[in-house]
Amino acid sequence: MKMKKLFVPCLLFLLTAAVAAGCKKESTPTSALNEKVDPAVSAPQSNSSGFANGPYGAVTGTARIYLTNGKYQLALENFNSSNGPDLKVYLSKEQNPVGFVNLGSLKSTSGDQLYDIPAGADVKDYTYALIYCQQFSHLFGYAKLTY
Amino acid sequence: MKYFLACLVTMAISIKGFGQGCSDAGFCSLGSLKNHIENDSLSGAKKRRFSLGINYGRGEQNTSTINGYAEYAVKLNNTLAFQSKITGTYATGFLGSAFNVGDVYATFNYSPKVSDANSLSLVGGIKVPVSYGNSKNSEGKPLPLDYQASIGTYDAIGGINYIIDRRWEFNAAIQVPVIQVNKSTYFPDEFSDPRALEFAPTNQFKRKSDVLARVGYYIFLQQSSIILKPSLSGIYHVGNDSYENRFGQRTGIAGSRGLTLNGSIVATKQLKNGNQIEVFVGTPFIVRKERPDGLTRSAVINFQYTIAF
Repeated sequence: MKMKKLFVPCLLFLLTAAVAAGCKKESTPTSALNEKVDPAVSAPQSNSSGFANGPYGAVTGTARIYLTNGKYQLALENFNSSNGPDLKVYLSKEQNPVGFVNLGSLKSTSGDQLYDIPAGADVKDYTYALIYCQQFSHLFGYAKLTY
Repeated sequence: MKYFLACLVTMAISIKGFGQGCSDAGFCSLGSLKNHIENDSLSGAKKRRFSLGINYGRGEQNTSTINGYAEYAVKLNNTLAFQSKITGTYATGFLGSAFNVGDVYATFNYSPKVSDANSLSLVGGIKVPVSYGNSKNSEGKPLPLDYQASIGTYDAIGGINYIIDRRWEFNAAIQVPVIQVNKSTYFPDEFSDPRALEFAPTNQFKRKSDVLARVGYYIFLQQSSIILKPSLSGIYHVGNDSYENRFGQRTGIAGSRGLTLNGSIVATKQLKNGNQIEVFVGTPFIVRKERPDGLTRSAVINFQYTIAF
């Protein structure tokens, strides 16, 4: 009888913990960022391109590549995205992540933000900026980059 | 009882001086591979055991981990037993904190009769991940595997335990990741703190197998019903682990293959009703150059209480 009493709370605790762990669906911060390129030292390398929604999210704003002090950066401007569990910013050769560069975790679902592009990436090879949920392979939004 | 308390105090004090790296992916602490001798006159008639345990470990860059687990074991007949276990981990350090449920283990233990003095056990089972190594901090940044409750692999586990004359114990075991579903997205350069670079990138991490060899010696303190077992374990990680770099290319992590040599001591006190109190401390003497799986601890101390019924 003692064991039955012990089993029930333990089982409930474990199940609750498992459910709580599985419910961490939205992890990207939501506070608006204000990261902007400095026009005095940054030169645009692509046209400003608007985001379109992917099958799993709603994304607005624009994407543009700049060259700042010899380093390429992707700027997301007037940006807004629906939240997700594992949102990343990719440069990709296609509208889905094919031949991509992973620029890292989306810093915020809103505001202006900058992402460093790794040295060695030939930016003109990449014609899409993607907002992509890596863990579940879901495309939230994309912008076609033109040069 | 005073011997038991003395052991606890001695071990608790001694872990301060330990070095870097007690490392295993779970098989070291499973069933008969951990601690096999018991007083049959106290627990022999009881077929089931339920254990709750908690351990504290210090990892890379002073990351603290508190790992809790629940274990249920049942003797199916005179030679066959089944054991299941679920783990959960809270980790905290300079990159943030995370809690998650870790892994579920299910193992069978087959112990054919060899002789009164010697015993043989064969262990086989699986490890199933409940989480996938992608917990994030409060700022939404992916944390290294040192902070994760599971590394997200479905593993096959096999092992053998042989005890000679109820004194010397020898173990050999293997843990093979069969299906890898790790979802880590950790890149150290997402953090501005340079200490983050001490954790290897583990984006879409893939892990290699481990093999274990262990020797232990049982010391029976008759008056206090305490069994002590100091042991020495060698764990060989058979290949370099790998991750997916920013260009989507799989990249080996040099130095992640190699040997970890651990020393440990476990003290078990069996109570008159068959229940058990167990304390384990361990520390490594030799570690791998790179330990991206985050399983390495500079020291571990574990407490477990087992109810037999």
